[in-house]
Amino acid sequence: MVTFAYRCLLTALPISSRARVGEDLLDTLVADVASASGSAAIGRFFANATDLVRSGLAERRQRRLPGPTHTPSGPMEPIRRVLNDARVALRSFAKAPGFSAVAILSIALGIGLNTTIFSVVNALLLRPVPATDPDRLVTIFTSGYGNELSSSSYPDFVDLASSNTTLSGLAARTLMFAGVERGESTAITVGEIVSPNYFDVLGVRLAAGRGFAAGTERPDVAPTAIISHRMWMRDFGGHADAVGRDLIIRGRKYAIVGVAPAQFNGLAAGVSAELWVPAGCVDDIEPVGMNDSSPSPSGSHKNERRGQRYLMLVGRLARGVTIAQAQANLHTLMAGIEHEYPQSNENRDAIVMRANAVRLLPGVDGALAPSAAVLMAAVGLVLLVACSNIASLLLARATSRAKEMALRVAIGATRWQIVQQLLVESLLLSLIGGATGLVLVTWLAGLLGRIQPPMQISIAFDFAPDARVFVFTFLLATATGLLFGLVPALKASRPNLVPALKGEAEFIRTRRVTMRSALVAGQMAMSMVLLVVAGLFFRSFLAASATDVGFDVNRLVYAAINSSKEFSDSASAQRFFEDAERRVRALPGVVSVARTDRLPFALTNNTSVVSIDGVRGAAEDGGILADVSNVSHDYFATLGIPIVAGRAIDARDRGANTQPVVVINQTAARKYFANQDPLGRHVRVGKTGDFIIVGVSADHPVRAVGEAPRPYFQFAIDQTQVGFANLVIRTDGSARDLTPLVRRELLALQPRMAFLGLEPMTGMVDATLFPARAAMVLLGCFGALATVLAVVGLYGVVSFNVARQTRDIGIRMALGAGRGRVVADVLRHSGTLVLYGLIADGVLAVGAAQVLSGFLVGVSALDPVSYAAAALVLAVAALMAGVVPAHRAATIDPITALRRQ
Amino acid sequence: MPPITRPESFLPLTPVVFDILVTLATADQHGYAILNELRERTGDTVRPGSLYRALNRLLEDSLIEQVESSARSGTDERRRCYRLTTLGRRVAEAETARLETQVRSARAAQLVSRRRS
Repeated sequence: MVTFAYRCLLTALPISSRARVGEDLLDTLVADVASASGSAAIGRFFANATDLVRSGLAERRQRRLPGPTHTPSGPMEPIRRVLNDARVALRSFAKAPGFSAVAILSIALGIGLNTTIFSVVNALLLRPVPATDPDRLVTIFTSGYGNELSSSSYPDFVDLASSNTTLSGLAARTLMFAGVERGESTAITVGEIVSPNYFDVLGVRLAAGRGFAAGTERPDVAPTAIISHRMWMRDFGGHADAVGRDLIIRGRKYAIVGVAPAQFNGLAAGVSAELWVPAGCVDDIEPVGMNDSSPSPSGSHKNERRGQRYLMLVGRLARGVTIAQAQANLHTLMAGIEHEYPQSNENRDAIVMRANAVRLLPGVDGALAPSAAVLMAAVGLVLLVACSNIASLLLARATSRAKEMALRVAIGATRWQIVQQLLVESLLLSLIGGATGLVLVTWLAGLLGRIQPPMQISIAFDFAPDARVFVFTFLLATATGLLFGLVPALKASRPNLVPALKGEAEFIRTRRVTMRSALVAGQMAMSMVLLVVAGLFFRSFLAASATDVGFDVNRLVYAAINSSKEFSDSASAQRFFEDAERRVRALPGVVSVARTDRLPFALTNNTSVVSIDGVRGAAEDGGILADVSNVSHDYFATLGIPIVAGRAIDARDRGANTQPVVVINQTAARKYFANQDPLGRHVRVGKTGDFIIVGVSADHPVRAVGEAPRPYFQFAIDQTQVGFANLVIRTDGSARDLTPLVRRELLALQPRMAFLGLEPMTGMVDATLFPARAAMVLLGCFGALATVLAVVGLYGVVSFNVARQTRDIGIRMALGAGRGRVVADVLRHSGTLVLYGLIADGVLAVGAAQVLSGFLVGVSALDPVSYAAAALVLAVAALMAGVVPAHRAATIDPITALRRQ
Repeated sequence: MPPITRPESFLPLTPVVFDILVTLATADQHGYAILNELRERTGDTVRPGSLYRALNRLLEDSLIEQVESSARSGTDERRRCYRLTTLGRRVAEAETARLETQVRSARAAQLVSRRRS
């Protein structure tokens, strides 16, 4: 008794001491107690015991060793033990290949999906600016009317770059599309127009070549270009002699002076730029993106006009300078510029923001973030469903392993050791699944990157996973493993020893089945949420597609031409368009032809500040920032936009000496002339142009299908000089058949012409529906995937139950229960689970849908059709999951079932 | 060949350790015998746990070593004896010298127990 007590207390000693003097000490302790008698012995027993523990612990403290242990200790011991657990886990996976495959595939799907969406979000919103020391980079906006963040002009850029004291470098850039000629064809290539110091300011070292020389931004210097690594590899085979060769853009030679490094895709988030040209070429190559024009008093060239704000500025803070200091410095400079050039720079200030905080544009970022959040939430739900499946599988497995666990507990394993073993197993599963998922990601991200939004220009998206994505996947896999592994591990580590060892474990499963049922109900709820959301997006897409766009798009063809780039002067452009209109009108089926610088739903969102007497707008000087376009006569007739008052722009409105006119839409008429007649009233643009309102046109969506009506001002294209034109053609036949004919006629007039777009007008409408369609397809896939996973889970639980109750069912059938009754019972079981899921879901889905209402067009977040459809899909799926087990239950032979055991 | 350790590097010793070394200086002893002798000699109630902690420490520092005791007592084959090593002996001598110096200084300072004189 005394010996036993002391032996237990000996564990207080570190293992090494115990091995060396343990037995000896035990003898001494026992002898010491034995040498006393009566109460003295008892006193000595306790005094020795206390002393033993105290000195044992003191020695441990001295050696800084962990608590009692049964295996040899060392600093590597925990790692060794985990490795051992991992080895055991791998062996057990190999022994149950079916289970392992299902589990790993489920996780791979869940994690792969999450990582793919994350890599897109990462590319668009999270990835830091591709530059050295990006934290010192700032984006500088010029404030526009109504404190809008706007782009900057080249003269302002030069002044700010030369006079500031807070930046170590300031560069300018804008996105552009350049028609690069390759043999006979012309490929529209995405690139950036930049100041020559662009790569220096970013701290990006070129892979080859010396880059732009200073001064190449001037228009009179021979044009040069830097190409992307991708273009270098693709078009020049990666040969060093690419530097020095020429690219032909619009018939002009651009000498290649450098190759960007492989990882550098320019500063436009998510888009891979392929070409960089200096700002001097801006008159040859059309910049795209934000273009804020206000009148400039002087300058014939775009880079000489202060009102031509087409550049985004990116600066590098000098060491030790804060954003606030740079802001103050640039504010002072802008005030000076405003004083000197009041006409172009009135109320214009510089706004400095951290470059990493601005992805596309602050406004666009704000719109992207919620979409990203919705997608991440959706794929998160899919992962949760997959996790529940695996948790359910693990629970079932734990039941069948109850004997193994009981045995381990019986021979002295602690509960923690068993939990640790099981957690290592689930972590290993999820990490293997995560790795498999990553393979899936590389494939899916490549697939996503190849998706072409229906634009006529090929854009390479850059969604390749980076280190951040890998870390995300790893964390996700770890969290997943813990999530689905913990509960089964805790349950399995507490086996009911005696029955488990006797192999009667199946009689004590009731609670575990409850747990699995709860998981299945949860899965049903999550799948339902995804299905409802998918349904809502589908209905929203249908509603948007069915929206009346205000005119008949089905018989229209458009050709987008950048006339200022195609033609050297306005006279030849004028000639081309006259000839083009004549030839196209002669084509079979053509009803009418018109010209405009902006088609409805086109990406060019031209706005101007217009002033109307007696109307005070939001802009600082009382002007109205409104959407504008320039249209030819026949435009309204060709598109089929009704004129509700006054007249359309017609043949009278051309020539230099005619009265400038404008046609406004109904929304503008209502908004600015509430109860008055707008006809005959004057509209001024900037400080010079004076236009008279001659008509009111019917409303139609301007920027995107499904948008709220907005004021629209349509000027006469022959009275305003614009360098960009679309031909739009109405046919009484098929628009698709007409398209190649139009192309043939236009190319006959101007061989080598590069079209920014030439297709049926429906293509433009589809483009605006692209985000809605993409969301619908993605969420539909997620919903379907989650449903499949949930049905697999449901099937697992129901069939497990049938197997467990084989004997019960046999007894019942022997006592006279009919097959129908048995089948009904099984189906009722799966039905109950689904019902619980649906009830739990009611709340969840309504909440989720409320969040989504901002994304939906023409359909309520509580749309009963979507809910009913989702419930129906789930109910049918659940029925299918129940049919097989029910059939199995019905075909149980009572004799065989009763003989079992 | 173990590294040569200077005996002085172990000084000063704790009273229990010094007592153990003194006890083992005359003869090899097993644990229980050391315990009893210490109690007898010092009148202190040394406990086995503390004793063995000290023994363990001394073993690790190679001041003592374990030897089989069968030849000596013959009563308990299993019990092991502890023997002073050469290093242990030199350490004990060094400590004795150190204490002597201290006691001499104390006497010079008239710090002599009145009761004994």
